[in-house]
Formats: sequence, C-alpha cells, structure tokens
Amino acid sequence: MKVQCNNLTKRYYTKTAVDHINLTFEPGHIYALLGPNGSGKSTLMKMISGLTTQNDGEILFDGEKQTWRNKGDVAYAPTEAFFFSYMTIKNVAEYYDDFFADFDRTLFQKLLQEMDLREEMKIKSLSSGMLAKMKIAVTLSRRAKMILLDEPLNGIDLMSRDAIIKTIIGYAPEDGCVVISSHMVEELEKTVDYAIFMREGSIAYETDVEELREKETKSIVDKYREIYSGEVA
Amino acid sequence: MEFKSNTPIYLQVIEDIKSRILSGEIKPGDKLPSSRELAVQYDINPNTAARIYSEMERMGLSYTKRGIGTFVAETTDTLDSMKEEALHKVLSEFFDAMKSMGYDEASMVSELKKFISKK
Amino acid sequence: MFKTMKYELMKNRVPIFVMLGILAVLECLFLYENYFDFENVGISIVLLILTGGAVSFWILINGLVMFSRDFNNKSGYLVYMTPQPAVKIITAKILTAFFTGVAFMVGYFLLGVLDVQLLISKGHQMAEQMSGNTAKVFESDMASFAQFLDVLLSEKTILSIGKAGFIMIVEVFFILTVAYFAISLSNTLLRGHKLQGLISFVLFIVLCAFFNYIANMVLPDYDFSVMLGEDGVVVNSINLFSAAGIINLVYSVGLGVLAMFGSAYLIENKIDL
Repeated sequence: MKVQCNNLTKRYYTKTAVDHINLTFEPGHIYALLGPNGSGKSTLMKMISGLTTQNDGEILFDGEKQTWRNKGDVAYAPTEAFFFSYMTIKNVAEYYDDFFADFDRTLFQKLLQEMDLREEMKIKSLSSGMLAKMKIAVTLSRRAKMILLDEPLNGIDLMSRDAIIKTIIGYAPEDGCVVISSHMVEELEKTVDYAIFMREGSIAYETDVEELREKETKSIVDKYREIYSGEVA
Repeated sequence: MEFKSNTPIYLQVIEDIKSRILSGEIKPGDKLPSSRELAVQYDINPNTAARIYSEMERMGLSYTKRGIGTFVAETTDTLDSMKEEALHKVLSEFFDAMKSMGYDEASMVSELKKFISKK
Repeated sequence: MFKTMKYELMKNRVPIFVMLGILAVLECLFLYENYFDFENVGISIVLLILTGGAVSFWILINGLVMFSRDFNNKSGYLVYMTPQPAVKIITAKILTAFFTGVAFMVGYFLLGVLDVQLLISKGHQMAEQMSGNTAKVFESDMASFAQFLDVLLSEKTILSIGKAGFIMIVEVFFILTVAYFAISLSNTLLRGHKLQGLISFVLFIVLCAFFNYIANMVLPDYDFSVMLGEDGVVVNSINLFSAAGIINLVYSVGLGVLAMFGSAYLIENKIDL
C-alpha cells in the first residue's frame, strides 16, 4: 500500500508539531524517521495511524483520502506501554484478534517463541526489553500494509535490540511499508533503505541510504551529524 | 559481519560472498539463501539483499532458476578471474609496502623466498 | 462497538466482582440476622443500604475514571487505534458505564423488595410468639410495613417509579456525557497538570450550571418531584409525556449526544493521546 502525505500540518494550539510535510511511503521499503525529540516524528505517525486529525493537508492510502477505516490498514506501536494493566500477553493477542482482521495468531505465536516470551506472562511484570519485543511481535503479527514503530529501540538492552531488528528484517511485509522512528541512528544503519530526517516539524532531508553511501560516501550517522550539527540530539 | 557504514552495504556483502567462494566455503553450483534469509543472515535490509543478488547476477557470479532460487555460477572463468583479482590485490599491497620500506625488486623476491623456505 | 464495551467491562471485572462480593456477604449477614438474630437485623439493613448506594455511585464515577485514565496511562492508544470512528468508541464507553450502573440499580431495587418481604414474613412469625401489648405493637408495625410494600408494588406506584427512573436515567446519561466532555476539554490544554482532576470537576459543574441556566431561560417549566402521598409514592409533575416534559427530555438527551460528539472531536483533533 502506498501512503502519501500532502502538505500535512498539525497544530496543537500555539505549537506547530508538523509543518506542511510532503512524503510518500512505497510498499516493500523500510524507512527510518529520524530527528531529535520534538521534531514531529510521533505526531506524523499518529496522523497516519488515524489517532489524530491534521489541520491542513491530506493523507492518501493508495490514492484514496484517509478515513477511519484506514485504521485497519495501519499497525502502530507507540513508544510507551499502551496495554491495559490487567492484561497478559494472551489477553493482548485476543484483543488484537477481536479488533484487527489482519492479525495472524499463528505468526504471533511463532514470534513469541523466537523472542523467548510466553503467552501467560503478565504485561505489568515484563522487563522493558521484553515489553519492547512484545510490542514488535504483536504489531508485526498484524499483516498490515503500513507498520509504524515509534522508538522501538528506546531504553532497552543490546540483546533485545538485536532480537527486534532481526524480527523486523525477517518479517517486514513485502507489500507493505515499515516506518521506524528513532533518535538512535546507528542501530538502524543496516536495517533501513530509506532515511527521512525531520527538524522542527519539517523534512530536513530524505535519501535512499545506499545511494547516500555510494554518492557521498556517507553513513546515515554522518548525514545526521551534518544536518543537526550544533543542535542537541 | 562488521560493516563500514559509509560505503554501500551491498558491495561489502558481495565482497564477503566472493571471499567465501574463493575460500571454498561456498562452492560453484551451491544454492544461495533466499534474499530474505540473506537479509537475516547479514542483518541487512531485505531490499539491499535483493539488490545483492541482482548485482551478483550482473557480474556473472550467480544465476537464478525461476521459482527455485539463486545459485553460485559454475563457469570456471568467473572463478578464475575472481582468483586473479584477489591475487593481484594481495601482491600489489605487498609490493607497495615493501617499496615504501626501501626494498628493491631483487631483494623483495629474495626476502619472499627466504620467508617461504622457513614456513 | 460491542467489542469495545466487552473490554470496558473486562477492565473493571475485578472491582465489580469485589463489590458484588461485599454485597453478597452483607446479604448473607442480613439473611442470618433475619432468621437467627432478629433483634440486630437493623445493622445489616443499614449496611446494605449504604453499601448499595456507594456501589451505584462508584460505578458511575468509575466510568469517568476509566475514561480519564486512557489519557494518562497511554492505554488510550489501544482503545482508539481500533478501526472505528472515535465517537463510536466513546459511545461504547459511556454505554458500558451507563448500563452497568442501571443494571446494578434495578437488581439492587429488586433485591431490596425481596428482602423486605422476607423481613415481614419473619416479623409475623415473631409476633405470634409474643404476648400482650408487645405483640400488638409489633404486629401493627409489620402490617404498616406490608402495606407500604403493597403500595410500593402497586401498578400505579411502579408506573410512577418507572417514570421517575426514566427521568433519572436520562439525567444520568446527561451527567455522564457532560462529564466526559469536561474531562476531554481539560485534557486538551492541561494534560498532566497537578490539578487536572479538580479542573475537570469545576468545568463539569460550570457546564451543568450553564446548560441548566439555558434550560430555565428557554424551555417550558417542568416541575418534577417525587413524594409520598396517601396512596404511596407518587411522581408529582406535569405529565412526563406532555409537550413540556418531552422538550426537556429531548434537550437533555440532545445535549448528551452533542457532548459525545464534542468529546470525539476533541480526541481526534485536539488531544495528543
């Protein structure tokens, strides 16, 4: 599924979180959405996932204007713990099964196994690394056309990070887009094939990553430093 | 595998696969993993993995049987030329290093012979 | 929408079971005292009445707390990411609180009627064992109890209570939706503020006062009160289904629905979940 943002703008009272953004997400690609905190990454994701409505501009799903139905096409994993406090992993699977037609329970069980998680575990007692893995498992088990992962590597141990990246690489849909936001750039260096740099609600730069290496002999980190030099990341 | 992040990943992986072919770890005619498996193996983007196979095919290092998979080329001339290329690289590095230390051509040869006889 | 309601109930199942459990214990205490310790039966009656009132109140307040919690602990993502328009999700939440509350109150009322009947029949037995004046007084107490119950259960009173209940249900709906709107409003600007709860409450009072003021200014007079007449409980009012009554009901329901759409609008447009 192709997702286009045209002139997308979101204001919260006096603050402009996203400022006239134009972007196209093509199926089959993994995108890095980069930028310091407050640069508009999360707000952009929330608009695409239908959790908040833009003030200006439009989002097109395969050329059609976004409606609430498109919530069914987007699998969004917020950076925070967002499950109900009573839930076990199994309860979360049941919830996704109930609400999302694209949820693949068999795949979910497989991913749990690969990540050393068990269905009877309580969400409340998961470590931050386990919770992060759980979020990836449940989100990727939705065979969604648009997968949005907000800071999936934030604040977790190295082994969990590796497991998460392996899972993303192994299970990214061929006919869908994956967008990963992060302010930790190194981790995504090999994982993504397209990088979008945001600054103060706008797109500062976007590039095919291999092209960047080929033409400018620069890594994403190099480019990040170049773009945000003098700014606090 | 450790990558240099400022040069194209696909080229680095191709180099790695080449060296595995030269060392005999992968043999001509062997089936290579699917591009998704390759991506997981090297921890790289699946599109980059797909590109690796298309580049390798262009270079004559591999071929694709539709619906079956990708295989290492069996023609000996590509293997030979790869070997030749690798040999040339090693020798030129040796030559440059020796030259910078002040050895002339004759002493390079004699030092190399001495080294080999000790082995 | 029904799925959302299901999960709203699931979230609350533990406290709901705890409360029902407490009520069950109190009911057992009442039954025990009624049959074996009649002199102290008053204690369990008072406890049952107080606890029942508290539980009804808690169910409604809890509906508001759950709504507010979605914004504070991020479970709102899980609720609002489901493929439904926000207004449907809010409706599901309000209806869950509403139906749980109403179902509880109806059940509680029926239990109360049953208990009074048990009390009376036991009272008659007790009176038979007494003698002289005590028995007479006791018997007449029981008789007036029974008469009260008969009146309470007469067709006329049930109809009146039904009317009063209907008005109360509409008012509960109105209060819930306006409270939701007040919570949403306070979340647009004062997210995470120390006094946010208090501010929501003040907003709620202000909104209610405002809507009442408008109603007083614009709508026809609608006097409504419940009183105990000679023939029992009577709803003393202009006929509920008179033009004035209906206009007032439509006003409350209409505002409630508007408040739900308003909350949905705020959630989709102004609140950063």
